[in-house]
Amino acid sequence: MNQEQTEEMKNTKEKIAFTSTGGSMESLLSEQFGRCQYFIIVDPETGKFDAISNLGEQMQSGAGPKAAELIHHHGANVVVTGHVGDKAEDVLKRVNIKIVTGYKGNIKVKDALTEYLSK
Amino acid sequence: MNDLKISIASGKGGTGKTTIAASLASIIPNSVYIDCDVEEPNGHLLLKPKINTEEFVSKLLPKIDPFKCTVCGNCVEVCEFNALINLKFEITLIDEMCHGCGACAYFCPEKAITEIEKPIGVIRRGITEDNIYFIDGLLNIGEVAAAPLIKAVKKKIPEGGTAPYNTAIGKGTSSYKKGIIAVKNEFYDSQIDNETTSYKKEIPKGRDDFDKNDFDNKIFSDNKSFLDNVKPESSSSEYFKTYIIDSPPGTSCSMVEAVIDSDYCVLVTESTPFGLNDLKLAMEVLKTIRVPFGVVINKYDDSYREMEKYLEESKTDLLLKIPFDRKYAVSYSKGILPLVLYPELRTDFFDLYETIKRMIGLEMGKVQSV
Ligand code: SF4
Ligand code: SF4
Repeated sequence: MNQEQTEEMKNTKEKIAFTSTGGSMESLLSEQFGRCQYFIIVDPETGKFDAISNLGEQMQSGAGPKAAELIHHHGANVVVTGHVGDKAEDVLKRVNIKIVTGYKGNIKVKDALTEYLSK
Repeated sequence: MNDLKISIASGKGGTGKTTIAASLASIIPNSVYIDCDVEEPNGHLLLKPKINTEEFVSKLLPKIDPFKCTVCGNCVEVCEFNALINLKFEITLIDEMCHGCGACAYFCPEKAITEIEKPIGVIRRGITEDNIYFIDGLLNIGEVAAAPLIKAVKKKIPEGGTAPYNTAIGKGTSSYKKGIIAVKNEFYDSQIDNETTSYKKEIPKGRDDFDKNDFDNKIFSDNKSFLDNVKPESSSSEYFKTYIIDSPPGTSCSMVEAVIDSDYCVLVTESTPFGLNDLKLAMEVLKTIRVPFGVVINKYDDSYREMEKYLEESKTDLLLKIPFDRKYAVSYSKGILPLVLYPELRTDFFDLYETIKRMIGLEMGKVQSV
């Protein structure tokens, strides 16, 4: 990591990407990273969120790294999901996105957010 | 009559496809057995060929010059295989995803991409004791590009009516002869065959009691004896050569790559509901790519009627039923073709071959009459 990037990291606010089965905070979290239907990207300071549909759902292969690219381009620096594959993990690490895994698909995105923030 | 390409496929693994393919090859004189199940090639265990050549096959991978690249993202957009990832500060390649199509290099405005070779697997060629020519491909572990390797393996099947090995003597430029020369040279260094982008390398000493002189003699003498049996195509309409293509199981793009240009496809299934389900999927694929086919039911169990009912209803040709018998499985697990031990199977396979030839004849008649 070069100087510039480190600086950028310090100055940017936290932006959390949740893998989701739907386009709202009420949707259930998706356990799959590469093949989730939506990413909900939340700014915890303002509570505002963006729902981005994930094309990887239909991809034959290579969905994981592409999903990592997608959330990177939307400015996420944390991802909360069930499980991340090796190739996607490599990409996420290279762009300094923090990976939080182990979440189950039975909770809503908004609850996952509360839970994550309480940690 | 031209050469015959018969592929052996199966909607799922474990149906005994390779046994059927190898058995069929073993009863056809001078046939060529081609194992395209590159992720798990097992044909060699049953046919036990003596391997003469090993060629390494590579794919071309893009290499991006970070000093020339402006991270414009063009290459990422044109890559259909999701192999390039834009990290914003640079572009990164996921090797395993890349099919080496070259689109990224072609569309890079900065000419920042060059292509370098990366080995994906090896093609082995040899001959069995019974004069069955043997070709297989073995994919490197972790490599996803099975289809390009299958394509390379199938390139070893010459187009049209000329047999692969007889051209070696007639025409000085045939790839086979080049192959021999290359292999000879390899005792001094290794050489790249531009046509196929494959390297030919020295076979490690000690493998199969490999002996250079013996090897040369073998190839040339095989060529000769083979040529003696071969009548030029034009002088005899009877002459043809049979290629048996062992396809990967399932209905993926590698299966399509393996069976696509065959004259006939034998679908191997077994008497179970799963067998039937996967058979239906495989039949769909073959109908789509317009390869005529028939079905062999292996491990046949006459208490399961649905299979035959379905074949009858869908007007699908049932070519052969091989009853389930423990002794066949035992022989397979010892690496022996069941028909070697149990001659009753030999007759079955002769009949199967005759049936297939008849079917192909019918298909051709159909095409001509249209
Ligand atoms: S197209 Fe060329 S310049 Fe543009 S990002 Fe790709 S490698 Fe870099
Ligand atoms: S060679 Fe083709 S598959 Fe490989 S990265 Fe370039 S565009 Fe993608």
